[in-house]
Amino acid sequence: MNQDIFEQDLINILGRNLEESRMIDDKMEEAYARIRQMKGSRKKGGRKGKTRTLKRVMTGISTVAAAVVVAFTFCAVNPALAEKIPFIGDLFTRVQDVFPFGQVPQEEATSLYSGKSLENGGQDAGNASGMEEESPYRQKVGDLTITLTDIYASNQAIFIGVCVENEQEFPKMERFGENGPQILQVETVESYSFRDDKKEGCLRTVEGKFEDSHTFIGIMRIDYSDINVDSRRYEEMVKEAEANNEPLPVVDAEVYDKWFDKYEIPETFGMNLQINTVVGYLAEPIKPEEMGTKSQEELEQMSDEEWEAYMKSLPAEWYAFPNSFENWFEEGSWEYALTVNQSAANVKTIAINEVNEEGIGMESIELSPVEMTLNPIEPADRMIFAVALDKNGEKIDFGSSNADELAISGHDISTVYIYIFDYDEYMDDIKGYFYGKDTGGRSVREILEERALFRTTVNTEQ
Amino acid sequence: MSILVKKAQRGDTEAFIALMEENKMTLRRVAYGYLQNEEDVADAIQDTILDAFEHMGDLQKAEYFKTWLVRILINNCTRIYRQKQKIVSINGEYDTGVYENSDSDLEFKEMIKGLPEDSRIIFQLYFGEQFTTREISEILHIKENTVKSRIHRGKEQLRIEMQIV
Repeated sequence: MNQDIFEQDLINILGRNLEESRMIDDKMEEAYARIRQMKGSRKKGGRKGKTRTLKRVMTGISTVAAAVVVAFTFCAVNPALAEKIPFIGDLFTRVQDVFPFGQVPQEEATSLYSGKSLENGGQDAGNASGMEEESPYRQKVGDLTITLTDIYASNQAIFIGVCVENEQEFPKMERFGENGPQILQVETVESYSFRDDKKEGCLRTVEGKFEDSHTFIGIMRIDYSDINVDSRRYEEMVKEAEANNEPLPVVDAEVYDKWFDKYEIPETFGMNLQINTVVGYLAEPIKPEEMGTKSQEELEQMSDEEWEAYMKSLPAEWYAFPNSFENWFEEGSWEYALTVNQSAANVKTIAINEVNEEGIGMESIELSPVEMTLNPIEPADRMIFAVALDKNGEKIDFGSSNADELAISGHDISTVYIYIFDYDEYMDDIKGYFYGKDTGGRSVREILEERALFRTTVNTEQ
Repeated sequence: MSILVKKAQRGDTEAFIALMEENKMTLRRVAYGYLQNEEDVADAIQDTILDAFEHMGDLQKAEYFKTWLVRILINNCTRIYRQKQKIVSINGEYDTGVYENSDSDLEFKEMIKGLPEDSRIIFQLYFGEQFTTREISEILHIKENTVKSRIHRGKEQLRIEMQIV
C-alpha cells in the first residue's frame, strides 16, 4: 500500500458518516427545543437562566401615540445641555476610518441634525423652531442624549448617523482590533410603513468611536434583508405543529420560500425607531473569578465541582444581558420618526445570469457607493463560497456578518473578478492563501483561477 | 452554508438548527475522538449547540464558522473528559457505555482507538474533517509545527502497527 492510498484510507474512514444514534439525536432535539423557547429572549445570557429581561417601555405603542411621545420628549430636552451642544455634522466622514464599510457618501445623505442649524435642508426644517436643541432627532432621557444626525439609504441598506452624549463620563470601552471600531448596541422596536407588524427586540450595532469621555459617534446600518422578511406564517405553523406534536421541517431553501414572506422595499418609506436600551462593552469587564473573595491561588486549586458551585453562587445579574459586570448600559425610551428615501446616485444592479453545468453561478451584483452585494446561484445540494477581487487583484472583504456584502471603500471596482468555490474546500484550504499560506511560488490569483468551480469578470462601468 | 450562517447570525433559529444538522457528523466524529462514549458525546454536542447559539452574535466572520464551532465542541469535550477522569480515579474504572455499532462505525471507532492518543484529535481534524494544519493549530492552541510533527509521527506509528511498508 503506497502512502497516497494509506492517507486516502484515513480520510475515508475518519470522515465516514456514522450511523444514526437515538441518544445523540434526542439530546440535539432537546437543545433545539430549548433554543426555540429562548427565541424572543436576548441572545446573550439567554442560556444562563436569566432572571431579568430588558424593560420594554411602550412596546404596544401606536403610530399616533408615538407622535405624542416624540412631542413630549421634544419638549423634555434639557435647555442646559443646549449650551454645550457639540458640532456633530459630517458624522459619516468623521467615522469613515473605523466604520467597516468605510466612507458613506455624506453628500448623498440627508442631514437630520448638525448642531448648527436646522434651516438648511434638514428633514425636519419645516417643523423646527430654529432653536438648535429642539429637534425630534435629538432626545434626552436621564443622562443620555441620543441624536440622529444623518440618514442615507442605498439599494441595500439604511445608514443612520448616531451621536450619544452622556452627562456622566463613559467608562473605558472595548475596541475591536488595534485600529478597529468601538461600538454601542441599541435594543430597538422598529416599525416600517410597508409592513403592518413591529419588529421588537432588535439588537442594532452602532459602529464608530468615542470622541471624548462624554461623546460617542457612529453609524447604525440596517440591512434590507433584515426588515423585508415576515416570519409570522412560519411561527404560526411551528406553534400548530408543536401543539399537535408533529415534527418540524428543517428549514432548507424550499421550506424558507414556502413559509417566509418577503416585502419589496419601496423607494420611500416611513420608519419609527424606538431605542429602549443603549449598551457598551467595558474594556475591563469584571470576570467571574474577580467577583468573589477567593484568591487566585484558591480559585486555581478548585475542582470542577467546586468551580461549578462557585459559578452558581455568582450574583443573578451576571447571568443577564446587559449586566454591570461586563457592560455599561442605560435604559429609557428614545423614539424617532424618520422618512427613508433610497438614493439613486451611483446605485445599480448588474445582471450576470451565468451558470455552469453544475448549476453554480452568479445571478447579479448590486452596487452602491458603499458596498457591493454578490448574488450567487447556489444549487440546493451544494454549499458554495464566493470571493471577489478588485481591478488590482486585491480581495474585497465583507463589511458585515454577511459574507456576500462587500465593503468597497478604497478598492478600484471598475473591473471585478468573481470566483466561486466549494464551501468546505474554501474553508479548509483556499482561504489560507489569503493569510500567508505557502503558495509554492504561485500567485494567489493563479490558485483561485485554478480551483474555482465558477469564475466571471464584471465590468461595472458598462 | 454561508446563507444559513448569515440567517442564524440575524437570529433565525431554524437556520441555526439547520446549520447544526449540517455539521452533525463533524460534531459526532470529533467528540468521539475525545470521549469514546455515546452519552458523553451526546452531552458535549448538546452543550455545544447551546453555547454556539448563545454566542452566535460574537462570530466575526461567517467563513470561520466551522473552526469556531469545533473550538466550542473541543472546550466542552475537554471539560467532560476531565470530569470523567475524576470519576474514574474514584471508582477505578471508566464506563465506556453502550454504543450501538454498525460495521462501518466499528471501523471508524477501531481506527480512532488505534491512533496514538496525543495525535488522535489532530488526525480526526486533519483527515476526517479536512482542516488545514494552520486551522488545527488555531483550534487546539498549539504550534503549527507541532501539528505537522504529530501527523508525521502518528502516520509512521500507524504504518508500523499496520505493517505497511
